[in-house]
Amino acid sequence: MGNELVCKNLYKSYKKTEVLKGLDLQLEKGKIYGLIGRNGAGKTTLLSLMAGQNPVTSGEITLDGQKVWENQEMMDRICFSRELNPTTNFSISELKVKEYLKMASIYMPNWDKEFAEELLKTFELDANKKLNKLSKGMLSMVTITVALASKAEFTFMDEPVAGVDVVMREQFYRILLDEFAESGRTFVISTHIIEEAADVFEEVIMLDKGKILLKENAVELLDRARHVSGVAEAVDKVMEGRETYRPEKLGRSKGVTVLLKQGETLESDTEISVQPMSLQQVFVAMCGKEVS
Amino acid sequence: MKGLGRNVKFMTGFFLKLEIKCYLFLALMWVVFGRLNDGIGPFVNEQAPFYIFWISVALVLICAMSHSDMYFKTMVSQGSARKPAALGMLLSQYAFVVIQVVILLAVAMLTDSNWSLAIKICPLGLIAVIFILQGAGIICATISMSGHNAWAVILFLGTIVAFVLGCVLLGYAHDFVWSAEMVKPYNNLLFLAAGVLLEIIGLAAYYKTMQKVDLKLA
Amino acid sequence: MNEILTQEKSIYLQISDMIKNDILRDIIREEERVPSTNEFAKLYAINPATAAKGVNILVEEGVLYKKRGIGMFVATGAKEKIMNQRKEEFYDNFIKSLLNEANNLGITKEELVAMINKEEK
Repeated sequence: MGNELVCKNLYKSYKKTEVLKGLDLQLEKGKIYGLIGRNGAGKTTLLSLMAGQNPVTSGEITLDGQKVWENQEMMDRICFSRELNPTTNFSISELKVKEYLKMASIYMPNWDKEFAEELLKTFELDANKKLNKLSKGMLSMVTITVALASKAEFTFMDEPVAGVDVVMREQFYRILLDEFAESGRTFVISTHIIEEAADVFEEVIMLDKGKILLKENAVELLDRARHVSGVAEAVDKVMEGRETYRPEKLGRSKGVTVLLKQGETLESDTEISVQPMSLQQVFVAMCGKEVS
Repeated sequence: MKGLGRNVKFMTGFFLKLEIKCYLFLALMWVVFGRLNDGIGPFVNEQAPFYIFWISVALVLICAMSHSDMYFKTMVSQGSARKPAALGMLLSQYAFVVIQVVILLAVAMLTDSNWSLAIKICPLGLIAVIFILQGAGIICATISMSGHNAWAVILFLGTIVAFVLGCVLLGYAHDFVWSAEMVKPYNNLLFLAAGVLLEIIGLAAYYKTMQKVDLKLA
Repeated sequence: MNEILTQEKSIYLQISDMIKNDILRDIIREEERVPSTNEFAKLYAINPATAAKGVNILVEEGVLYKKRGIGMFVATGAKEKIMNQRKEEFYDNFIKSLLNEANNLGITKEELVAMINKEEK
């Protein structure tokens, strides 16, 4: 094996709140992962632990078999570009964009200066503007620039497109895919804007209530996720023995979400409709609230 | 230690200018209060400038310590491991303190005031005070890093008050600042010992805490 | 090849369908080079692994073949192969749902045939 970032039985509590509850995860190199989960599910926490920036309460995180925590050599292979908040962090608020990039370059052994400058132009960022004068969207573009120009083997992005307009978001996805195609770097992107980003992910990691709900190839997941609806009794009959999600009832009809086994098919007939689902729909079905 | 170099580079490259500005301001305070001591201005009571001066020193050191908390967090959020970040931060802070002392001494020596006299006579006292305030500062930084900001500030101000009271009770204050005669040498050593002890306790507490604490790094 | 992606079908199946459509329309001809998976990924802003899956289906079906070091090419006879494939799929893709719907509405087979014969084409 060797080329993996492995989390074993991670527990993480902040004071009295347990955020991660016995989480196991294995990230292979050379993929774009989508980390999706509700607010408070623990996405940022997981990323900060994997990057060695916060200590685990218990459990182990290793890269190629070596511990990540307090191991600068391993940490140098990981870039965690997180949300910039100049209002709460005065040490960076007065910095200009180019100065912030210079600071980031001190910490990234593979920093690509030309790439960073190219990205500033593409993202229409003024290198001489102070961070505390940037809008939320522009701050996001700065963190994206740092993440991409870091050329780190493992790059984590936490809600990278928060506040970014749709045109720039599309630009970002394209640039990300270009960079991935060229370098084969591993990316983990946590996001709320699931549907837009779905095509970019090779694998989806769903985090719910402190645990990994599923980690699967995105295409394979959508191949087996189906929404089954129709006459309630007929639906129940077909769904017998299966785990279903988010039942919806209206009069005599019923709808559920189901994950079929790999390779299994289910056809619509006179009594039931079987429809494919989008990633967002699957996520909401599995992690969302019950329909009352 | 891997990663130390870049942290020192970070500290000196980005924050040296800011820190020097603070120390020049402090030096200015010295000069001003030195002059006031000579009877100029509203301070008729001879004791007042002394206390005001040390409170201003304390405030500058509080700022330095709260800065250090922020610097440490910034380094860690950029990808530094904690030990080299803490060490880099501490080394830089001590370097800054040396610069601070040099600036103060230069200003004191070059200006004609009772300060320059006092420093020439009991440099040990000055060093003792800096150790005490630094030590208290690191303890406060540790407490604030753990999230108890209010306690950190209370402790630090408490240290200042205790220090000043101590000086007064020992009948030391007046002598330390104004007297051109030799002050009791063993008092200086006592203060120096207290300062070094505080420093060591502070560093140990800081080192232990910074490895376990959760930094809300956003 | 410049169709947009929709929600109805798996992305990789849409990719392979689009390539097949273009072969049928002579937009890409037999023995011509087809864009690489990375080029497809770039065009549709999707993950290269997904694009690769779509292309690989066509390789398995014998519609495309790989020339080592050069790229993917349309196989000779691909057009005919696709036509035959679609004729076979015609029943599943169109007839079955037609019969289902007719059944639901109570339309008999004779009525269906009459409807078809009514069409001039």
